[in-house]
Amino acid sequence: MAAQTLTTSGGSPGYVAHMKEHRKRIMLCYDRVKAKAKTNPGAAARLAQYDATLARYDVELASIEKEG
Amino acid sequence: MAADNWKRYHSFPEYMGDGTIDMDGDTFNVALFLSTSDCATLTETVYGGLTNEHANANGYTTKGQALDSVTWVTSTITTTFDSANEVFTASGGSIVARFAVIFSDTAASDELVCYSLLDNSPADVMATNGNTLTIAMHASGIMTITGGQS
Repeated sequence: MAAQTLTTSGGSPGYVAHMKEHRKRIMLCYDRVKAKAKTNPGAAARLAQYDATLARYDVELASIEKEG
Repeated sequence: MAADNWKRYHSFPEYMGDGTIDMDGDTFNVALFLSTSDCATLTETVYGGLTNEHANANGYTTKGQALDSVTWVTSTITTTFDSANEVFTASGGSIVARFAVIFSDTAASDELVCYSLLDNSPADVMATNGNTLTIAMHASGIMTITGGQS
């Protein structure tokens, strides 16, 4: 069996839709997590993940828009 | 083939409320379990109480993998838990699983959050050697908590 993708909530794959929505959610909680990161190592680690994920999403979304 | 929605364990809101789980700072893992597991029992409370996890083999590591870029965001009366998609890569054999479970790997006893039936036929899912198994989160997120008045 080749690679497979399983979308939770029984929905269609919606890869791009999730990427866009997750990007918005990261932006909405970014400042809150950033404030906690000063004293919370877990929040600091998450903040670094946010930066990497936002950068990756931007590249992927730009590529999709270019193709589309 | 589609995975089922995530179902939250009954004790999860209590663990959030009493500070056992910190939604902004904890590391949340997603672990894979076999069809024989009891992880679909919503009264389970901690990772250590679950039976029949996928073996520590074929590219899978016991306790699974950390979710990336977890978010916890409130809009009016709805709070949404979400993360980036999670990708498992089979190596040296196949990964075969029935369920995925999310738990806090930071909390004292690895308290549980929710689980999903990965093929709601129901059936096992499999990634053969060298292939990936991606758990794609729904655009609406992993889970929402709503209630009260706006």
